Amino acid sequence: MIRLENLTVSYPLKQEPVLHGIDLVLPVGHIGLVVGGNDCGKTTLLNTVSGISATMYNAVLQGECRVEGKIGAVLQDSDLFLMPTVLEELEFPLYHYWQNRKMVEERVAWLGDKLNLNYLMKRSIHTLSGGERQRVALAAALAADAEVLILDEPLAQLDSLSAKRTAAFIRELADSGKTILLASTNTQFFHCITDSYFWLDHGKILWSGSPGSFLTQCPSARLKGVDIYEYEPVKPKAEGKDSSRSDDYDKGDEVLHYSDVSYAYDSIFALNMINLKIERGTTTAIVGENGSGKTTFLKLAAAILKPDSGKIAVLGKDISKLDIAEATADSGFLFQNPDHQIFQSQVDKELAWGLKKRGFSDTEVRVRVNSWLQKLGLEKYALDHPYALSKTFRQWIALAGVLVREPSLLLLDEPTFGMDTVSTARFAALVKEAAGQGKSIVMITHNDAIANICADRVIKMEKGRVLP
Amino acid sequence: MKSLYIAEKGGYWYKLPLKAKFFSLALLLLGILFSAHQTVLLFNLLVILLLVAPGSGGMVLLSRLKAFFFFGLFIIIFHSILNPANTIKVYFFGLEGALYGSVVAMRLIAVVAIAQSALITTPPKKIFLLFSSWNKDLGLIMFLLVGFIPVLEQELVNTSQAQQTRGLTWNNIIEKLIAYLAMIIPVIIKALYRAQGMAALLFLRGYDSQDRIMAKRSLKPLWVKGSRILIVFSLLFFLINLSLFAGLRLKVW
Repeated sequence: MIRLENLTVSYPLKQEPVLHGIDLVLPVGHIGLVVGGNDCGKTTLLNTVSGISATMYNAVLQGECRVEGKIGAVLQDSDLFLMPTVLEELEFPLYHYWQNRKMVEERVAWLGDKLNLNYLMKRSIHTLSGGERQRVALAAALAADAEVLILDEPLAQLDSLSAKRTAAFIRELADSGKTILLASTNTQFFHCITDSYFWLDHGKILWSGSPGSFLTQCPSARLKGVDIYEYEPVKPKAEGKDSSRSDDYDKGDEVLHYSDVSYAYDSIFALNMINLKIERGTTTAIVGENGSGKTTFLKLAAAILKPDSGKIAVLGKDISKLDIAEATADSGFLFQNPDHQIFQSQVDKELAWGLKKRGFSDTEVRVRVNSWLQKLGLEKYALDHPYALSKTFRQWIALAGVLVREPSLLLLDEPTFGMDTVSTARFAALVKEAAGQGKSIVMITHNDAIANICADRVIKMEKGRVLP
Repeated sequence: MKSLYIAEKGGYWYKLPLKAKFFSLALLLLGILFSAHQTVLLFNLLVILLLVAPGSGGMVLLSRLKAFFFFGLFIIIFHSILNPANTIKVYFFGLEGALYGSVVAMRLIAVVAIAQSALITTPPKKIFLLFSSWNKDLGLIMFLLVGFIPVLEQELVNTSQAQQTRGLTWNNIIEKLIAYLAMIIPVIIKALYRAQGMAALLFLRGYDSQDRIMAKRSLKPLWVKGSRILIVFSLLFFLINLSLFAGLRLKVW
């Protein structure tokens, strides 16, 4: 059970406390969901409960914070892991029981069944896709059979099928006597399984109660970035049905053309004989299960990976002989993890770097950087170190670094991961604006709303193939 | 990305019991450190390569050593041109420097060959077991260290790919140097962030160095059938080198 009473948390270097006067009670066997927009203090609250804030980040706690039972936790950053392979990662929390080998094996097998990980056991973790990694992180948190589970955005990178399955499993765990505290911006998959909601905004709990009454009592939550509505399921759309946009481009002019493309990682096929054309000036969303080859598909278009067989033409140019910089001369690539892309010590330098490398003049660079900073609302943070900002901000910065060059093809890998509805809506507006200017956009997304709103065409992928 | 351990059963280093393997490799290492003379060192290096390479997958080890051969060559050239002790010169290559450089290079290659043969043939989990039988925390430290290297390598690749999509080119040496500098700093910063995150994970997964029942699996003892010849050989190797060192350098006899 978790009991917080009048809890105030502050960090030594910040004057304002991050959380003020939090009261939260979660009895045994209940699931509590902390909802709130980006930067509302969700992660700090969860880290405080799990004990990391105080031990790792020197946070100062005032008030009462009582947690009864052993804690297992999933951190927000699913890139973090300790062991090289999935099996070892799951076994690690069980090293206490190493003499009892059979028990360890049983436990790992049970986790593998429940979270559908058995086919991954021998793989090394850094070759897994984002969603698979998140499932591994959840399994590792569950391995030691802790009574209290603290899960920070446990479903953010999962496709809707495995998200539903995992959500049902979380409910099952609670019914077997675990106390579970979740945090998310998105209530889509948690709505049916949660016992109580805690709406957090600017470090204060504004409302708490049952999920059913949240919608009626707090309609303003949506404005603060909390998603309280169910989405319509995404339907595959046919090509070029959208007639609302002014079309003055040549039809049949292809921005991406894959012919018989295959790619394998260590003899495991990630893509199998892909044939696909994407027309210029369209917005395409790629959806599909975790590990179905979406990221590989996109990386091939930027020549980051070279196909084992087949040909890829980008904007009418064959890119098989070009290096990455040449192949992306008129396209921009956004990586799944923004931290891969950010390497300058200041936000404005980060934006300017790519422009300078592409040979823009100094005045041009300054004008563009300033206008894009303003457009994305980052001008306040222009001189900050990117790592001092939250992950969502880093996502915006990485996106800005791509957009500032205004390339005619945008390749975006999960651009809205971890964003709340306010940010997602802003992103959707940006995509629409870019599409209106005649740019072609290809993006991978698990967010059905984004796929529905922005895309002219939705491509579904499964096991390395494009579904017709 | 490849891990350090390669799981193909290719030679006797794979089959050796853990303690015997590390013990004889340590003796070989000490023997290298006590090599008294450059000709002795050359002989030692050849012995070690002959002993270590066929036992640990042969070509794999040599391909990993390739970079160090080039690095050794660089060390020799560097010393032969710039070492202040050079007196005899052939054109501008100083002989003393070349000799000194070759000793350094041979030592380096021998040490790397020994270390690589251990890493190639031992799964990380076994390294963990061995070291934690001596000290509970040391095992985990070694394990995380071994596991961290491929991750760092991946991080380096990711960063360079990201920079190239934004227009970084690698056309000449100066551009390459600048590119490496631009890459290494963010990778180090990210490694520090990752280390902090991993510490948090360790804390969460219940790792506590105060009271912990760690792996106590029976490791095979040192002196068992199958490893005796190698232990005797490496002991001899060490003792001969030590006595040569005592004789030639310390003038004990």
